[in-house]
Amino acid sequence: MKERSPGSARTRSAALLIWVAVLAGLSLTSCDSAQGQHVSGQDAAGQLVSATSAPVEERRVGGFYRLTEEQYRQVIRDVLGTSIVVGGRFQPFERESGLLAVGAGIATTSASGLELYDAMAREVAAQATAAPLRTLLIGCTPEDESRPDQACASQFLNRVGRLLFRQPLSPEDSALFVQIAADTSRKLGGFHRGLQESLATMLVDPRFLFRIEMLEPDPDHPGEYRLDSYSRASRLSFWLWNSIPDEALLAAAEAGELLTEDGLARQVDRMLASPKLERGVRAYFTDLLRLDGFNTLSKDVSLFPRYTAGLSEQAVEQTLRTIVHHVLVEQGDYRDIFTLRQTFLTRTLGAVYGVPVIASFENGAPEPWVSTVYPENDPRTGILSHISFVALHSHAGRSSPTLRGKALREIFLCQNVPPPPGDVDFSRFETADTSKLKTMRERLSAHANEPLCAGCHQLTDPLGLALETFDAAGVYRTTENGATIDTSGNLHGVTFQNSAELGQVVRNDPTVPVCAVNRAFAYGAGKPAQRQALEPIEEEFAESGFRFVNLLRTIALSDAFFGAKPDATQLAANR
Amino acid sequence: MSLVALVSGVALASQPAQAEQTWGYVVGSFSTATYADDESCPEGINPEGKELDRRNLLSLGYTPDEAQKILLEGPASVGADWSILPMRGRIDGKPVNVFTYPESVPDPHIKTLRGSIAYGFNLDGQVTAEDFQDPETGASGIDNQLFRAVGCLQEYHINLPVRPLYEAMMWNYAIDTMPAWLISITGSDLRGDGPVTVRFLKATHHPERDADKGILAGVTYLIADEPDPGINTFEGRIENGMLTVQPGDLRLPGESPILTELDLAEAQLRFRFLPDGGGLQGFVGGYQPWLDFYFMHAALGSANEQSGNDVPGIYYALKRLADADPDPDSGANRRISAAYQLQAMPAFLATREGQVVAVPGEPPEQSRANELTLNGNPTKRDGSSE
Repeated sequence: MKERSPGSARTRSAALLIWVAVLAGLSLTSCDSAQGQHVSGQDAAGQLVSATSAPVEERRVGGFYRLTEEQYRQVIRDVLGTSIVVGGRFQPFERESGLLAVGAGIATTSASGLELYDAMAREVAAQATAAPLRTLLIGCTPEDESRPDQACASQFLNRVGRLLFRQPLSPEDSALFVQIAADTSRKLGGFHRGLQESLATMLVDPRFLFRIEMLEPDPDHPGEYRLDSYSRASRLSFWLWNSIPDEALLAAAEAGELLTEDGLARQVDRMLASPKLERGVRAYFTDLLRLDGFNTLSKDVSLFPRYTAGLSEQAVEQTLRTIVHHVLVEQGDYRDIFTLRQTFLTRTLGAVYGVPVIASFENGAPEPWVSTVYPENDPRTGILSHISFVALHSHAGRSSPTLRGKALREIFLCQNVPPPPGDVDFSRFETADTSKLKTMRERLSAHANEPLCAGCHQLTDPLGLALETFDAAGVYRTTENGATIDTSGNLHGVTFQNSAELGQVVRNDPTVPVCAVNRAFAYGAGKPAQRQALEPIEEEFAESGFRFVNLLRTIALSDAFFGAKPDATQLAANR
Repeated sequence: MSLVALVSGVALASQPAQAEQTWGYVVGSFSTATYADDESCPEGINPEGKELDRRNLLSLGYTPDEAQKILLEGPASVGADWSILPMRGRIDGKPVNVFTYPESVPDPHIKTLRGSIAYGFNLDGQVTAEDFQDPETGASGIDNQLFRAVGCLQEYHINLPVRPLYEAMMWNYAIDTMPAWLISITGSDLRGDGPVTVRFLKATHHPERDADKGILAGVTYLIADEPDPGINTFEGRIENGMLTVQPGDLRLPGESPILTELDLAEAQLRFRFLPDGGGLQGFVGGYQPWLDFYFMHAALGSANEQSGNDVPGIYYALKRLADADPDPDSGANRRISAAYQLQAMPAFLATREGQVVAVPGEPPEQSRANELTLNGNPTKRDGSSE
């Protein structure tokens, strides 16, 4: 039987008030504004510290966003060290407006999800407070390890709590967590056991698991709201670094610098220059390109023996490496990701694409990544030809021009393609005689002749058919069942003959950079913006030569990014 | 001459005519070429593992009841341990490991192949009563005394594509670490008839597996070292889709428990190209040091005998049937005629310097430009150098 700590009951009830709200999907307030009373005593876990002078009763919750699995893991690594093993499972997220980051803003968690978090918290806390890691982490030595040590506990918990909650602990919070440690130390024996309990409590606190954004009245725009200082710091850091603010950013938030144009610009520029930006860019494109889909992707190995167990992971890495190299290292034109001749391959990936990958490494060692430059107009140029696109948007046993075309429109053009009606008869397509209808184009022609289907398939299939030179596993081919594959088509009236030309056409489509701005903003802000708010950003993006880092900077410094106009419903809900 | 130079030279020399092309392969399956029919073993098949153990226990002096008890309950039931079987050899009356010292037990005279059909090649150019007829080509004069030695063991009394279990297991065990065996085929028209050059090479890395536990096609392998001059290069022809070569010597480093070296003197081969980029399939044969084959079986000793492979019996049969390379002192033959089945998957082959010298066999039609830039090294898709 697991031991129960005396602090756990009290703390669980402290967090309960907030969790009840979270589970109910309601917005949170930092205090009971109607009564003007602080959430007090045991309820201090719900209190949010403000770096501004705005009266608490005027502050509002702008949103709360559950940390993604990778963000959770990264925060643990950043705060408690890379040796901590985070086991367990995470409740999935729903993708909204094309992004999990937006879905995270409407995701709550279930009671079972909370149990998963609790189990993870206990595991992580136990590792962090066990020898020898605790010597490095705690930073002070208790006078007697068998007894509580308020000073040492306070030092550790305030430091860690500030990072986990992305703002300093309030005096009430600090006192509570120290008290939990002391109570547990006395009852269960030992200073470190107490810290473990207190740390575990922090790790199930909604202020850790959720990014709770607080709004305050905007003094420059009466009647409007703006994100408060710490919320800005968290939004920036999870957006650009996929993790918590560092000391400098927290200090800037504490000093109110993020509320000034110059102060904000200084921090944004510092963050964009940091190596941590790669983490953020990787997380963004993982979300944008729906690469989480590989977690559940499977292929029929009898049909696609080249789709080896590790191929999905390598496919994701290929695309992320390629994009990071282009937009961060080379600072290239964002639109060129559709036409890039350079990519990075392993020997295994080379076997799928049908290209040699020359890598010198020790027999048995992990495969190295090799920079590869395709010839001009090679069909493998651009990320649309990557396994991460063509295999991800295919079925287990066959390619799918429809899924590929749908994904292309949704991801890169920000267009919504509705799902098929429920009463579609797929048998005509599924049972097509491949000795007569040899190519996918021929088989899909059935859709073109069905009025019910034609509307959507005319949008999706021509784009997807250009990628038919890649089978469901991404293996390059030029024929299907002995017939030459026709990859011609058009997008918005511009014709193309093959996948390379499709990439060129997509690259030059004016919708692409507009969509890029839309998605990048929504990812950072956690919600999409109105088009007119983005137009100045689109213009600056174009003026910068479509440099992605410039886009991030422009968004971060835009009026729209930290501004907020809560509607009457939201204000009412807050109250 | 290095492979790079060879390929380059051939390409340049043949420029006025059709350009040379080189296809690459990685060997994915290799085992004794087996054939069985009703006439193969008129004396019957050699006993399975349990009976082999019983025979060996009796030879050690255990009574039939004791032997049965050991087989059912283990050697502890008679106050012994499992070392009694591998240590059943006797030298000067002292127990020795029978797999290390196979002559420490008498020749058990395993039953050997009496049939007239076996895969292989006419290695000596003669047709004698000892020779076989090849079931695929119908050719007479086939020299394959190795299969005569083992063809009536339980595991070898099978037909392709089934492979002898022990060899298949050992191959599967070895190839996840053993640097791969590579084959390159060069010719002016590999899709048609004509002269070709076949080379066997060693890779720097083991073969890569596909998702179905087969060998992944299309991987790039670096060539480890150039073989010594005069070996591993065969001049041959493709006729009606069948590739055959003039005899030559083949020596490829292997790894225990598979052959520590594939050493075939006066080797011949014949390959067929499988459709749809399926690779090569065929046979390679020659005169092999018979001890190499024995060591493969001795590597797992008792475990191997569990499958009915009478390891000392194999030793004596190989020694007795060896038909080439007599020792100048003793006159005993040191090599035995043999034939192995081989399958290879298409692969890119490249030098350590980064030059692609062979592309996967039967590549799909390429609709793109011919030049790739890899690590800054321009290469041609057809495997030739600049």
